[in-house]
Amino acid sequence: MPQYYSRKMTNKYCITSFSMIGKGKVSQNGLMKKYAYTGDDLLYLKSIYKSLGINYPKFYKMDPLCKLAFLSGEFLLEGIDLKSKYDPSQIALVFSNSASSLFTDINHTNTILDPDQYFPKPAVFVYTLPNIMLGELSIRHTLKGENVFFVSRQFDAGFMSEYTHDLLNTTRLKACIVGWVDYLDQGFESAMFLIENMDAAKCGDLLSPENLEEKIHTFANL
Amino acid sequence: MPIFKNIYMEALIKKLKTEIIEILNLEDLEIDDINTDDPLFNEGLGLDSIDALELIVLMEKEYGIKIEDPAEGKKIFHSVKTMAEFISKNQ
Repeated sequence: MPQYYSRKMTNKYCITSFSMIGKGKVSQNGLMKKYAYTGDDLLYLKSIYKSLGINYPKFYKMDPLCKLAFLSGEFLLEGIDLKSKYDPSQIALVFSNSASSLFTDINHTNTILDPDQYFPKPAVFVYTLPNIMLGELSIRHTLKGENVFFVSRQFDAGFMSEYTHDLLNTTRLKACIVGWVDYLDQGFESAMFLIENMDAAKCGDLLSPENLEEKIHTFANL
Repeated sequence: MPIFKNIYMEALIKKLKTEIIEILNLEDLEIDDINTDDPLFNEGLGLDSIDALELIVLMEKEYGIKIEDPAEGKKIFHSVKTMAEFISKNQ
């Protein structure tokens, strides 16, 4: 068992909101929304964007990974006024995925493979890092706290939970968005959690590996 | 023969607008939404620095024109009209 699982945690942090996006389904705090999925991932993401009725032209310029993160953020933070509760510098982002920015990396590579047609696309190149999605979320929701991005084979609920606990316990940060946003040819998935310090009596679900996993498993099995 | 030039410019402007929408992913815009004389940056279409780089690539890839002087680029990419005029002179 990795060391971080065995350390005792004083739990006072709460999952106050969560969102998940999969093929044909979206969950907003457990409330399921169905979206028609016809096999085209980009069209699917676009249809979700359209359904939200927001005007954010930058969405169309994003790579698929950032589009997925953007949409998840919209569901996660809908109706939540973070600005009234926290200074922007007190909200952190702790994210991970398995494919990094590989989908866009491959797209970029395809623009520079042929020496006679060497036309790298700047708009593609700027998305060849997975943590760009953190930047897009930060711009959209005015988040200026610490952010970090990990790459792991699977969502490591134990690590993400403990890392977030440590971050909130040992810094001036007050809230954190924990996320798993993954996009590749073979599929995509997104899960985001808003973590806040809250009175235990008002807290529905404490931040714990079990609670993170339980929400993901519930969504995956629907 | 100005009539030929006018027809050419009209077609070029339409082509440029189509390319700009496609390359810059301006999915919520139609050709008619882009005024030929309006500034492309800032108060106009609101394009950013990455879009500027894309336009430089467009000029090279589609029209064989290489823009190396940034000061020159500012004038060329002022509007669709200035782009079309520059292409027409340099192609």
